[in-house]
Amino acid sequence: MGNPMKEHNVTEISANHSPHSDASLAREYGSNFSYPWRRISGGLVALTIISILSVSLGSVHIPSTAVLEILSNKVFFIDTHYTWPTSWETIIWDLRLPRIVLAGTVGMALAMSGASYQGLFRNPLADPYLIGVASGAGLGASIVMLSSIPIYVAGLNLLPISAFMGGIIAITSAFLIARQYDQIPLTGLILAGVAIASFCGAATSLIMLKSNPELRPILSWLLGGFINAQWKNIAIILPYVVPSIAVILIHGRILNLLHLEEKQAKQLGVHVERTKLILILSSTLATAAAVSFCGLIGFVGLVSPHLVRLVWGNDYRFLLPMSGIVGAIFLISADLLARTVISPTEIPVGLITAFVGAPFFLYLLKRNRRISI
Amino acid sequence: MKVVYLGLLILLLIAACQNNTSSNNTHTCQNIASPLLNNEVIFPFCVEDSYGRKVIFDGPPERIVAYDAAATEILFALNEGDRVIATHSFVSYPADVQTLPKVGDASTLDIELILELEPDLVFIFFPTFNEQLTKSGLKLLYLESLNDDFLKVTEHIRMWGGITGNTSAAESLSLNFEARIEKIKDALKSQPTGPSVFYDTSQLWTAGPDTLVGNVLDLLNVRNVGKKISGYGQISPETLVESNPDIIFTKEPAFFTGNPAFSKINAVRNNRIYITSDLLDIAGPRFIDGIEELAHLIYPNLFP
Repeated sequence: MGNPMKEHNVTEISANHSPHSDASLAREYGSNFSYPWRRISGGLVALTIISILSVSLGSVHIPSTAVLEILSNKVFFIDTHYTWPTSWETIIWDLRLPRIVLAGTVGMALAMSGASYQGLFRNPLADPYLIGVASGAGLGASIVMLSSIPIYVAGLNLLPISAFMGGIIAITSAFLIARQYDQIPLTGLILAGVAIASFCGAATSLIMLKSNPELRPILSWLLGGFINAQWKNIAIILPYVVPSIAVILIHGRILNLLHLEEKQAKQLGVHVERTKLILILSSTLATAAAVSFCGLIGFVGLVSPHLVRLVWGNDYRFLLPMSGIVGAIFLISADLLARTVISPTEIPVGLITAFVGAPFFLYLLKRNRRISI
Repeated sequence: MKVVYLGLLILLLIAACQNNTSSNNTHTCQNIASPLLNNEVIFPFCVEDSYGRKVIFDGPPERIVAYDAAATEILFALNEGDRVIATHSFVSYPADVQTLPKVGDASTLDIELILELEPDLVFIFFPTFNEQLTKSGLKLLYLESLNDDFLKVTEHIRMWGGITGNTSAAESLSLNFEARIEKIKDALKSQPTGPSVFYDTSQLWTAGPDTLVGNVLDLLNVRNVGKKISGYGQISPETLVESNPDIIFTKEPAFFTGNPAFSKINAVRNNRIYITSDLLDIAGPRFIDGIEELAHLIYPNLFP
């Protein structure tokens, strides 16, 4: 961004002393707030339990004692003198664990991006794919998968690279189109994003239809999955995901203010344009990195934050981390189902997230009858 | 868009789950006295289509729109290729077809173009456009692609022999096909069960025993890693590691060599990952070449 326009150079006023903060605001966001650490720890315990369950189950049956010993041997270097087939060690250490870690990371990234998008756009339908990242990534991946370009060049997998590039190109175009002077009007950004998404979607369909009839691999990529999860993939996406998540996390208080009214937030001392840009960039980066290796997994980014909202309310300081935990739990469980329901055949994890996520979300909606952003 | 992909994939999954029982043993109608045995066609020749309807040929069609790679290859192998006036965009063999008009691809069919070409037979392997084609007054033969027993290739060859009146060429082509299959069977008769094989179509999608490829793997007496899969399915990587195949057929070897989880699989350690050709994708006369290629790669000593 260039120099902020004068009108955006708001004077810093601390939120607590703002003349405009009414009593309810002070009550909700004031200094009396005690952070619900218990709920967060509860969530982390649930995440650990589902991970342990997930590492013990799969299409190949491995006794839980063997799982425990392999893990303690690998993680804590404890020599247990237990002998197991080397294939089990590979299955636990090189297949199940990277899958769980990748699913957890991706679930967390998508859910937190979703939460931040929803707050930023003040739109309950906002999800990490709203402004075209997913369709751009899908187009990038389809071009590589369905053209004559080899997927592996010198042992390097072009698929995630092209997906990542596609996502970034799509969202940059949306930004450039929506930008007016130094501002990014959110409505304009959504509209540009939606139009670019439709365009990329149509281009993907066209490529699919005009290429050789073997469409199953690209379809299952578009629905997402962790079949090719490896430690090195995790190492590649973490440098994008971790800083992005950290940036989103520290914006909890500001998102609380932003979702009131932009004007009010400005008066409360928020650099609105700068904050918008930072949040959109980090959410997009996290999303693009996440989808690059595992395809377009729907519903996690939309449902997880709402689930947290419906159960625990709208405070973004809690909503953001809890959405991340819920998203990780959701995606690890969905992947567990994806690889066990009709084993040894895999189901794209996107089918599970939609089949399980949608009815569960509708049930919550029906029970609570109120959803606000 | 998601919804569309979801729908498409569900359709594919449903299609994969269905056992195809509709293909009957022979496509020639019962009421025709077997014209194929005495090498002399008795027109009218009758073919039963995949709806079970009878399609009668009073004489050999001269202008065929062959909307199918296998049918095109059969017609050319019978030396009846000059009857083919158009195909679809993915038909690439033999080289002669490249100059022919293409009347569609995986999704569309240009009925106007077909009408303009004035064919006297349209052959098609999927039913989407059948009603429109029939309404347009075109003579239509609809037969589903083969998807289970590769020996039925010879039924299709003989059927085309009957339709074109060239039963002698069809008979010798079929006998050649069958003899080569028998030769493989004989060579493997006294052999114990062969190595375990994983046949990857892409990203761990593989062929179950009820597919054309699955039948080939059965013929070659190998253990198919996808034996529990119905139709085509994506196998879980841990099942692949546990099955420890001796040989992998794939178009993307780097998918297997680049993943440390697969490094201890026999096929990777012994460098027995072979790149599949397209021969087994089309249930035509060249399918037997594909079978022999596989036999050679699996048993280099038996099939040099």
